Amino acid sequence: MLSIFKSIPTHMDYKGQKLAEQIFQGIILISAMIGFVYGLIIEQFGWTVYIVLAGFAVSCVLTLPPWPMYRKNPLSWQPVVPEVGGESSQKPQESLKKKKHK
Amino acid sequence: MLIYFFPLDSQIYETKYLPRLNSCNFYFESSQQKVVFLPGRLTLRPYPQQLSSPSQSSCVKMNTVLSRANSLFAFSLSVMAALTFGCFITTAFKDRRVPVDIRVSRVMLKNVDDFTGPRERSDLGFITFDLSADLQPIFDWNVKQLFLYLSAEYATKSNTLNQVVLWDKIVLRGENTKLSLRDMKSKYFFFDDGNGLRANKNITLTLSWNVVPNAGILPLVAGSGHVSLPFPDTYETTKSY
Repeated sequence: MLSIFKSIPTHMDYKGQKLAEQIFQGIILISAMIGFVYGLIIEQFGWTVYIVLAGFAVSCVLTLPPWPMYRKNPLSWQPVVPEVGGESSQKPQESLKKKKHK
Repeated sequence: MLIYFFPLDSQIYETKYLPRLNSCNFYFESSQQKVVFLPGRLTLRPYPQQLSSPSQSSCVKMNTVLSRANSLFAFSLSVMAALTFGCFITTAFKDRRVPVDIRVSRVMLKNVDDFTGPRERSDLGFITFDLSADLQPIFDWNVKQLFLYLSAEYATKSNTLNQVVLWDKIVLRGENTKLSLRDMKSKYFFFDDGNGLRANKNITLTLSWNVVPNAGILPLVAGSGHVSLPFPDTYETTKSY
């Protein structure tokens, strides 16, 4: 059951993460400003809250799923190199051991 | 201990956009160099040849839907808090006084048994009053309701200041704000704790209100316009049949 959830791709690349954060901050800030002015004019603070909640919903839709726009700059990975020597492959094992101790 | 790796030749990202690697026997690899970022120091190491590239899904763990939802929710809450503070600050220095017209149409004074104290008989006043005020200017976007109360203030020999609440009313936002009441009887007993009401020449009725806000302080405002009235010198006698 859990593996089904894990198989859903949720990953964004670094630029995508930054873009997503900027987008949701922008949307919420703009909706907050609109809501504040509108609430001040009609003298209903409840409408300010509703407008911010609407901005929250919109930014949830826009930035929570990993849309293709957030995956345009994937990391360029080194191709798989066949293992040759034993010396340098020790290093990752060392760090693994350290982690296990802590 | 967290170890961060990122490729040098493609981009250097802000640290907060780096994935946090939980089980870190993987490396982010670029063609020339590998950068190991430990908390507190930045180390450059020669690029290891033998390591194979991990699959992205197993390596990048922290920026998930949940972590994005978390930061989105936290940011929205902070913005909401700032807006609430703005709502408070726009109304904090507002004058919430309003003219009030109080007229007393009938005053009656009795001397009755007071079972609450050691005294045998205390003064009990009965006041019938008219009240009119327009509360509309008080309401703005930071007012949820008003708690109005009519209080009587007077001085007696034993106490220089006595305050008795005679009547109160809650006005919710959206209700009729024009207050026009005729021949109202007081809700609560106007009991003195002795005989201070008889022949008291200066009993002042004031309408005050608590402003219950959405955010901020809970101001207590006295309405401008009060009435002073003398109380009769004699008690009204209850007829018993």
